[in-house]
Order: sequence, then structure tokens, then C-alpha cells
Amino acid sequence: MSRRIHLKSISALLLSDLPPDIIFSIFACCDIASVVSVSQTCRDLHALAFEKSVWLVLLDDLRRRCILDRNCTPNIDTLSTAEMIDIVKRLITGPQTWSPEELDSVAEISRKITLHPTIAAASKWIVPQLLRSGRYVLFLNLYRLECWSVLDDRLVWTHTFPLDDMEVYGFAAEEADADVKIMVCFTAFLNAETRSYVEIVDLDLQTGTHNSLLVARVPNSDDTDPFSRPAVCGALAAVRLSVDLGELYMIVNWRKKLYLVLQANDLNTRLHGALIPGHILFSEEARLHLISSDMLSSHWAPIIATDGCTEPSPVFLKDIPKLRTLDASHTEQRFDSIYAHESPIRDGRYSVWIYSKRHVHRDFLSYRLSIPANEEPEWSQRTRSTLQPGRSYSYHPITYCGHSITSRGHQRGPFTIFSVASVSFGTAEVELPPSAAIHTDIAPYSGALTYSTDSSIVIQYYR
Amino acid sequence: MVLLVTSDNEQFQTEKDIVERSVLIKNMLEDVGESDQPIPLPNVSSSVLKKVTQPSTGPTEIDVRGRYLSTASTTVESPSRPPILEQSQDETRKRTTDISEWDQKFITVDQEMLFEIILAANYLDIKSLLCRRWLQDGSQHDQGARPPEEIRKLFNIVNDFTPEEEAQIKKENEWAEDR
Repeated sequence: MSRRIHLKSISALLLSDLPPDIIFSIFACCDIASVVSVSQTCRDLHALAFEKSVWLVLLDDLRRRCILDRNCTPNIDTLSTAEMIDIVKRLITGPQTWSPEELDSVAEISRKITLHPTIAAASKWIVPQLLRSGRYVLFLNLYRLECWSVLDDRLVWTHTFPLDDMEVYGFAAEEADADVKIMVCFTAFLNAETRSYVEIVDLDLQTGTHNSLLVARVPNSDDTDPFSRPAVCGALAAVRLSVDLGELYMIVNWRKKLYLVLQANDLNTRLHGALIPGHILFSEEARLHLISSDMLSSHWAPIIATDGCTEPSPVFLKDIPKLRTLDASHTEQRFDSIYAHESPIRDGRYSVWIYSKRHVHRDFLSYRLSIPANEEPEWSQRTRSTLQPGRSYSYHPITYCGHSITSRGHQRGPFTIFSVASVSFGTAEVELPPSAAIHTDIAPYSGALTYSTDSSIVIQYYR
Repeated sequence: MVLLVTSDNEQFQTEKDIVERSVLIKNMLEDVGESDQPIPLPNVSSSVLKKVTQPSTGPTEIDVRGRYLSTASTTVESPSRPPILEQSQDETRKRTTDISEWDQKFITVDQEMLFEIILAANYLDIKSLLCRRWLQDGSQHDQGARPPEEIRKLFNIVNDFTPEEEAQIKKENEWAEDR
């Protein structure tokens, strides 16, 4: 009460008149970019913004959003403000030894963790993926999906389904603090018939138990593995399908038990998608679309029962209203895979990387996408670079700051980390066994590389 | 329904699940148990409480609410609560565009009201309202955090850095720009 009167009694209100505890509370709800911005307004606020307690909260938030990897971030409480800011800077730039001053240096490993699952055979379907917090690895171990605890090299969970005769071909996961939502893509064999499904499971990481949230039948396919690039984000999960009908993109809403199958203008054209909260990015030949997930609402259909055999009727992407469309027809680009990552320091900001083909050239384009809460979304192109001849890019993921893996020649080493924003500049050599050519996972923020050998899963962190 | 009494003795009938977004009121309700007794809020005036809990009462608010509702109706999960109370504490970081226009309007309240709302939000312990949104978005110049100059203007902050200091600080914080 008295505080209120006090504020009214002075003509010029100053933010610094607010008690420090309120200013701390405001900082605690801000993104990092806002705190940094406030720190530049005046001396008092500069001092408050760089208090250790503020950055403890900001880092804790990054940890809760699973942007900080716990294996490469030591106990946060013991760090100084400057050290905490360095951790945030590293999220933005990637490992230091990946940005070589000179050409072709060797990246320095800071930590190596080995897990020991029983690995049946080398195969295309041996796929490890480190969850963003660094606590667990999801491991597609020759048609079975497992979850391993990184801390104690222990099998936490194995995916099960009522049908015994089934093979898992792909998965995607979104991690929260205590659980992880996993999209499992599998094909079951029943009475000489093959049927493909996607299942969304909610895995409790503490107990290793899971809840099946949804099972949806995928359109019929001759291929036992019609799945490419599955993704989960919030209530939505999506996967690209190559089925008898043609090239499709299937989206499910596990919360509402609805689904939707999209197609490009013709069924031979592949749609590539990326999910971000509340939105979907699509590339269709030379066009890039931003769609709000609300815009799909009139096209959703109830999930087909698991034993149902109705073929879905695909919705044309052109019939879905778009928030934004970027047309690159004049540059003769053909957009391919899209990778989109949220900014660790700015809410509603995404870093988008697109692999694209242009005649014989292989390009990487990057866009900055802003989806502010109360304004129109906006994107702007940041970089475009062309892969040098003789180097190959085989769809290893691209990180938030634009790092990916390439190898010379035919999928054999040496493997090098390169920045897709400037492929002609330096690369950093990383030591990986030849088997890593099939699947090496790059963590989007920490840059940790996860690959499997004949007998183990290896996670490598870089300095 | 819960009866709230403000510092200027106005009474407000408010739905329980709405007021419980305030940690303070939630605790108070738990303390008194099921009761019709009014809950006094001696640090909150009626005009501020309206801003905080009942967006559909005042004439300007109806406009905001109407626009808000029209946005909400197109979303899959349309919220039924006042937007500022929509985010519970553990959801404060959840990305949502639903609350946008509401918050946008908040930015246009005069400075005195802005401060009163901040104080009230702090007193009532409503984290989502104490919020980042004043410092983020809604900016004409930048799609992310407001630039320092704009925050100075919004909060009437006097720049007491020397030009050299300002340049130095800008340089130190360059890493956070455009990311």
C-alpha cells in the first residue's frame, strides 16, 4: 500500500524504484536476450542483470527445456556469472574446436562416454540418438527400440507392442523433464500381410514404463520401411512416407487422436517438413511454406482403427492456407531436408537450415524465422553456401549453429565437421569409425556426436 | 466463485480456478477452506484487479477480449480463461501465441498502471503476469527482445552510462544479438 502511494507521489517513475526482488522476478520470466537488453539501459540494471542469481534461473530454464546437456554442463551452482554466460555463448556458437582458425584442424574431444548394449549386426537400422539433456540415448537396435541411461550404462526401456512379429524402422523423440514423447514407426507382419503403423508413446524416464498415446495405421506400402524423417513436437508428430499411393506426409495429433495426410501437387514430389511449436515448415520443390497448426484444423480426420483398411484421401498442400510462402523458383533451387531449432536465448526465434539442390550443385540455405507472440511471422535469409565438389553430404542432422558432418569420397573417413553456413571455410576433422557413416547423430545444441560400433554406443563431446 | 475485496473496497466475484492462478490467493483459500468469506487484497486497487482478473469488464477491455476471443476460436484448444492467467507457473515458458493481443494491449497502459500491475502481480504471485512480455515482442524495430533504447522509454529509465561505457557494454553483449 505504502509502496503504491510512494510511486504515485513521484512524477517520474523509474524501473529502478521497484524493489530488486521484483526486478529479479521479471528477469526470471524473461528470455536471455531480454535480460541482456535490459542490462544495457542503465548502471543499476546492469548490475542487477548480471547477478549470479539471475543467471542461475536463466540456466535452470535452459536445462528444464532440455537445451543444456547435463554431461557437458557441470554443476551450475558452482559457476560464476561469467562462466554461465560462456555456457550460453557456447550453445550459440557450438564447440570451440569446431570453428578452426586454420583450415582442417582436428577437433578436440572433451569427454567420451561408452554404452554397452548387445548389438546384433551392423545395419542401416542401428540408430542411436542422444536425447537433448544428455541423460538418455534412444537406440534403434536392429528393429527394436531401446532407451539407455547414459549415467549408468543401463537399459531403461524396450519398446513393446501387442503384435510380436514387428520391426521398428524409425523414431523421433521430444524430451521433457521427466518423460519423453516418442514416435515409433514400425511395420508388423500378420498373416502374410504387412501393415505399417506409427505409435506415440509417453515414456516415464524414472520408472521405464510407457503409455501408448496413439497408434495410427499408415497407408499401404510394398516397402516394409516407408518412413523418413519422423518428428515430434508438442501434440503433433509427423513422418514422410513413400507408399503405394506415392509420396505423402502424415501428421498425427496424439492429444486429439486425429490425423492428416498431405501431398504435393503430384504424388511423385516429396514434401519435406519440420515441426516447431504451433507451426510446421514445409518445403515443396522451390517453395518454402510456414503453416500454423491451427490452419490444419478443418482437414483433420479421426485416426483409422488399427485393424481398419481404409486408405486415406490425401489433402493437397496447396489447399492449406499458409502464413508465409517463400518462392525461390527464380533461383532454380529444389528444397530438400529442413532442420529448424529454437533459439536458446530468444523466444519465438528459430534457426532454419535447408539442404537444397540446384542442378549439380548442393546448397545449404539458412533462414532466421521469427514468430513473435503478437505479430506476423517473419523470415529472412542469412546465408547460402555451396558444397564443394568431392564432398558428400548424407543427411546427417544440422545443429542449431549450423554444423554438420561430411566425409570425402565414398562414405569413408576422414569425417569432418563443417559449418553449413560457410562450407568453403575451415573444417575440423573428427575421429569416427567407418561404421559412423551410416548414422551419426549430432546433438542440436551441445554438438555431441553419437554413433554405434560393433559392440557399443559412443557419445563424444567436443571442446 | 470467490469474493475478492480490493484496497478501495470494491467487491469482485471471480471464478475459483481463475483466482487460483495467483499463488497468494490459492494459499489463502487453502488456509480458510470452503467458506464464503471475502478475501481482502489490501495491496491491489480495483482498477488493477480488473486488469488482472476480469478482462471483459471495462470498455477498452471488451475490445481486447473480443479480439482475443476471435483469435482463440481459430485455435484447436481454445482457452476459456482470461489470457493473462492462462499460463500457470509451470507453464510460463510454454510457447503460446494465444495471449498475444492481450499482452500487446497491456503495453499501451500508461506507465503508472504498468507499475501497479507489476506490483500487484508480484504481490499476488502471478508469475506469468510479471512478465517478459513487456520486455519482449511488440517492438516495432526488432522481432525479438526490445532494444535498450526502447526499454528505457517504456520504463522511463535514465541512461547514466558514459558514451564509452555504453560502447563497451554493447560490444560485450554483441554475442546475444541476432540469435
